[in-house]
Amino acid sequence: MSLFKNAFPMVFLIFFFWPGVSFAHKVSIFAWAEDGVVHTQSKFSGGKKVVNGKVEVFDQEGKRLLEGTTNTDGEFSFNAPADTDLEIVLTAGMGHKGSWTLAAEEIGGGPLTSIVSSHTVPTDSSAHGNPFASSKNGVTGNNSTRGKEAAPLSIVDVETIVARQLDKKLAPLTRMLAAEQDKGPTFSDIFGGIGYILGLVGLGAYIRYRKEGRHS
Amino acid sequence: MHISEGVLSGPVLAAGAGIALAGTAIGLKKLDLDRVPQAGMLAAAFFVASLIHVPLGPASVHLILNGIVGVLLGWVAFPAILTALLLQAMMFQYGGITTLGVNTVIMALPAVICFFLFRPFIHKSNRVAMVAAFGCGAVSVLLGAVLVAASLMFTEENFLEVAGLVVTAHLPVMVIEGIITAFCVAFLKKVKPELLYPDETNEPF
Repeated sequence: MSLFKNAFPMVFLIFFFWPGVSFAHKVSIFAWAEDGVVHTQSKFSGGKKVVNGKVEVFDQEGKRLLEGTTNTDGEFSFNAPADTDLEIVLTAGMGHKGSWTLAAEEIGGGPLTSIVSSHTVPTDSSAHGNPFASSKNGVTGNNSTRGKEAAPLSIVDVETIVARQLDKKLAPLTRMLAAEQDKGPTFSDIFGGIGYILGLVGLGAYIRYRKEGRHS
Repeated sequence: MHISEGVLSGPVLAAGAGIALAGTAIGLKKLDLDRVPQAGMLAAAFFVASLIHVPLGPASVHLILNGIVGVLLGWVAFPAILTALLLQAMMFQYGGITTLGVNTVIMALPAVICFFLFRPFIHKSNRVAMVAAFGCGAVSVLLGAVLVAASLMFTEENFLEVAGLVVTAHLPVMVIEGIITAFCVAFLKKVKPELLYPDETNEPF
């Protein structure tokens, strides 16, 4: 027993000074786009961030467009390389792999056309940190330009502006969704699985007693 | 320990499925109906153990428990672990359906090997039995890690590098599993020794 008494503190020491390796059974990657920049967030099941995971981006034909590694927060961002659906594949080593498909429409936004930028639509990238400031800027900016130039906006421009503003407003929500992704199995899942196994045991017992019941 | 879908090449998947099928067939043949409830309990324990992550320090670990499954079930570890892994793959997308065979081999084969390596010592004195059980728990995780590396060898070229990484990552699990297996065996020896000494006429192994 003394062996185990000594072993316990040792185990805890190992854990608390263990380098940041994780060995879950599943990795997931979640991607969303803001202003033509694609952000990704990678996690192991149980919520641990994937550090130094390899992220590869493929287009629809399976051609590799770019690759990168996740930072200490499990995040990796890149400028949308092409106007196609993107297949974003995460390889976290030790046989862990996950992927996320980002549709071309979701990336949307893209670089603004010259007409739109002349309307001084707020392009402040820090805006999504402070939605109120950005909307105020947007209103005043639009009013002032309308007064000065009054150039007509085409439907496409309006769509682009709306899409950009929506991206900004939705950004916090998307981030929240990213954080909510894959919280790991729920209790109902776990008990469901145990139920299946007990059901199989019951089936075994049923077969057995039906056989024996006839003989005795 | 669960290898995701789309990582391994076809031949590796086929080989894994073949071995898993053979092991499961042997296991089912040896599964005496009297021991179905025990196999079910252990399959459930295995199923739950791999699900619950314990955040310890910077890493999060989960137990595998293939050592205790192996020492108690022998070849029956194959069907028990296969069932649990199938449910995990279906309900939580851990591992996957195509990699089910490989994953079963990774966790069940070490269980069977450890059964043959350590089971004889379980019948000895308490002290010897506990040391053997510790070895059983630790070695089954170690062999599992080596098998992970072996199956990845065909996709990630360097076997030694991957093996080193996987084994290092599982060192704390090995220690914990060893301790858990040792205490389980010590407990069973006291409380329910017939689980560890099945009578010879009814030997399911």
